[in-house]
Amino acid sequence: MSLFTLAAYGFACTAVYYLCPKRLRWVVLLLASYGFYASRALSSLPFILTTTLTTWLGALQIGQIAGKAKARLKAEKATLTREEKSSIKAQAKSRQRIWLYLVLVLNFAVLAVMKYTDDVIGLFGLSPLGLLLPLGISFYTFQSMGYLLDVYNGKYEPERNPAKFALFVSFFPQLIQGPIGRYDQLAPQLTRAHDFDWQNLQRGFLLILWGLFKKMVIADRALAAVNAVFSAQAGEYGGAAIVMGVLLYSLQQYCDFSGGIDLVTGIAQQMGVELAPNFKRPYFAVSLGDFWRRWHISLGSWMRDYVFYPFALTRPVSRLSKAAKGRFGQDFARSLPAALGNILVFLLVGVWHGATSNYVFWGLYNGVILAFSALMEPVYKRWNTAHAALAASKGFHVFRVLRTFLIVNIGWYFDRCARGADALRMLGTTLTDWRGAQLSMSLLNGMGLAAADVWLLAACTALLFVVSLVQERGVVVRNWISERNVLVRYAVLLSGVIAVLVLGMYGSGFDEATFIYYQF
Amino acid sequence: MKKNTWIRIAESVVFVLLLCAALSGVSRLMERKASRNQFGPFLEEPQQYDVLYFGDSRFVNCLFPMEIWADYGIPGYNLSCYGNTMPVNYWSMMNALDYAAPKVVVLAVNGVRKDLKVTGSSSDLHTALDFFPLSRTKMRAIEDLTDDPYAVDDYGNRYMDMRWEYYFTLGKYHERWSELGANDLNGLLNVQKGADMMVGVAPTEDYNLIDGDQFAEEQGVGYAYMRRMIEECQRRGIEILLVHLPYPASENAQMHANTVGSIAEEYGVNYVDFVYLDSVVDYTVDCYDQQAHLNPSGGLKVTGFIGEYLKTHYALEDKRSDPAYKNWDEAKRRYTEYKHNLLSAQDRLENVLVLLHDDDVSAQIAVQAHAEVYWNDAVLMLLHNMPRQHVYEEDAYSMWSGGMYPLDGLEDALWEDEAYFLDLNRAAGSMSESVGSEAMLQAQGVFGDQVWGEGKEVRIRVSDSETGETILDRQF
Repeated sequence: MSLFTLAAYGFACTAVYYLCPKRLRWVVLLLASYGFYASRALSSLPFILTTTLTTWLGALQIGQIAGKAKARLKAEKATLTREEKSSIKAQAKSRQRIWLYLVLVLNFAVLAVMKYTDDVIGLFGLSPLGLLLPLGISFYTFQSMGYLLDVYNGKYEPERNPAKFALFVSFFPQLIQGPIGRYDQLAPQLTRAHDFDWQNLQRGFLLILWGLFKKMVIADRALAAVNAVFSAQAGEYGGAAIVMGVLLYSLQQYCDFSGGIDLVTGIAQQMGVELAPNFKRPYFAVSLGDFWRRWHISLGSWMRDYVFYPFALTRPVSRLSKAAKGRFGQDFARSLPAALGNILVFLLVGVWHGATSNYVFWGLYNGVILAFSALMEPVYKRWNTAHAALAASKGFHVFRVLRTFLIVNIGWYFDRCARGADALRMLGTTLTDWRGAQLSMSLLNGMGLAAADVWLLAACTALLFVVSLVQERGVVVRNWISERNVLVRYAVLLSGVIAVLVLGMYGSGFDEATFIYYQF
Repeated sequence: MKKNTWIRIAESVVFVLLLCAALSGVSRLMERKASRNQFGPFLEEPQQYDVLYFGDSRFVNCLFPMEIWADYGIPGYNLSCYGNTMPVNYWSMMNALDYAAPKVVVLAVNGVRKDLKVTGSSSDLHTALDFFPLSRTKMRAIEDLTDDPYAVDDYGNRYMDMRWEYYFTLGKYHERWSELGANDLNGLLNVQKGADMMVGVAPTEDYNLIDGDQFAEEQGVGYAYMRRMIEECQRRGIEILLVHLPYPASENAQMHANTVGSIAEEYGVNYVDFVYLDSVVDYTVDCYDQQAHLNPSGGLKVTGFIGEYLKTHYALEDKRSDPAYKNWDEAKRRYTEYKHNLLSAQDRLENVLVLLHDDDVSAQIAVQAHAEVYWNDAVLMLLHNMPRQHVYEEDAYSMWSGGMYPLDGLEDALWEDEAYFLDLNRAAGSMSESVGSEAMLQAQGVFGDQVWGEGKEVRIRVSDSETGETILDRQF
């Protein structure tokens, strides 16, 4: 299915959605989602059904156990002693935990087996089995497990209707590469019948166009040069060419991922569903922590809620923090759980990307920097207070943005290389063998970027930068366009469609529907 | 419904209409112009064509409808296309018959053995189909031609996956945005009624003729679609002539050609096998590549033969004096201008000589004594080839035989290593040769005292046979 087909599928679903009676609209979404999944990956259907059914059942059991315990406590409120009440609660929690672990282990085990089997057996020199990762397995597994944990934590009641829960797990726009939705935010939107809204239609269409533009015009155009740099033999390119490749990867990855997210968010928006935001102009971040609050936001918040906080609040970490207080001071002790939590979270995120050395390095690189930042936070605060004027200046803000950009791009070496050793080698070349003269138009031509492509890429990147800058200053560009007169709106929409169709990379021999995040 | 809603609906409809118009315009701008340039003129007045020609690249390069018009007054259009398989020919014909009502269809059967509906470059199928407006027949053609899951193009892309690009050509050609030029706005419409002259000379392999009673088994889609073409023509009352174009055919290919002959007999249609008529073309001078695609010299011979065949075998009127065909005078003028431009664009002696095998031009050629070209067999053969036809021969069928070396004077000049002069005046139907001092005198009379510049040994002046206008005066 090409991206155009996906967009067309979205338009068709939108039309059917609004043409159907309101009470059946969520059923349309469910059928459309399973239709999409079956057409894309029929063989993966058992996996998503397994996750859906086990999670639904597990959550239902957890909810029932909690409900029964509550009912008993309420009914026997007057007769039960405090100890008996605690015992009932503990018993319930214990039984809930069995269901929780059962479902968590089962689903994460399926994910791990499908994701890592080939990597693991490769370590023993065995031939890969060639297991195909079921479509969207990471995203729907994380989403479902988040729901399960929320039910376990009593955040909300479990969904009783399996079909409605199936829609929450399988809503087709987010199956491709997220965002990872939260049940309490997404499910009510999916099951509620939305009224037809022209604004939603137009805003969604604009977002679809912008997503297609980022993905097909920018990301896929940069692809050839990125591949050339990162698949080159050692010594072929000097540091300058490698830095150019990393910067292009930076651009490609952002446009590929955020473009895809814009596309699916636009499709959902046309049907009145607001997906969780996943990007907030990450390259304008002023620190690495800020960057990760702007990049793949839904994964970051999932990790924060279900890994970071639970880990940081565990007894061993609390004990360690207390122990550190006496030796290193209160500030250090207060920051220690966050520092350790960051290392764990990014190690997990790294391994989630792949069980290879480059991702482990990448996770540790980010985790250690964030841990260091967390530990140094009191020092930064004191410095900022002492130099308030400088810290508040625009120049310092730009410096922080550029510093963050540099730190992130060093991380991309590990993210893009196939092995950690390759990343270290390329970093070494960057520092010791610059070869600036190698950078030329003919080099780019040799990498598959014609001169016209180079200029187009530059122009589109400039446009992306300007739009992002305007958004960063609080302007909602789509609202601005919607408020213009009909001629301006038509001009923008028509130019957008034509720009994508003419300048986009697609057609025979090119699979524009492949996203970097498919593999994760 | 609220007034605001109606306004929104109206706005949306206008937007969709504008979008369709914009996409149509952009598609037209971005498309590779090969199809529209080569075949677009056919759709201008399709009812005028009495003969339509279908085949692959061989036929594109060797059947010049404007020559047949000029000599016999039979209006035709060559709808052959590079890479055409028999199924593509079938669908080209079916689409063409939506617009035209020919009396005769001439089908080149060289590709009958191919067992795939489409193969090779996906651009070729675009060239064959893109110019036809979207219609039910065109949709049927696209669906049928791309239904084979095993048919792939030169890059391994499945035709089935590319099907949508034949409906929506922007999908194929959007990458041309960086190469758009003036020609994309103005168009370079084909003035050869679909044909394409390829200038060059290349030696080809020799081949052995087999007996006419050896047949290959009839199998594959090529045969099936050839039969469908014959049956469709017969159903519509259109005569069909099958031709097997000349090339060094393998024994297997000749056996298939014989099978085609038996099928033609079965249906009672005419069949010309140029592989057996091996004196029509001379493979030493008439091919522009090693696959034996014919150059204009070879093409003119085949075209002349088919023109004569059409005139004598079918009830086709000479339309040259028909007022309804007045527009063909302008077409002829543009065709002649094209040929002149083609000639003057050549900078190789061999290529100029290839183009001098043409009734429409006269030539004066002076060769210096001791010239190296006397040792160049290819050039000598091309010189002999130049006046091989119409000047001497009356009968179109016998003119191809004999007269392999009509330039006696050239042979003398070669043996004596003397200067040589040839005056081939097709307007007057005369040819004169001179050797040695006489040749020098003749050459100086035509070119002035300084016949050849330094380092040059051959001088050629070419003029239009009809008007006498000089087309080219060049030294080599």
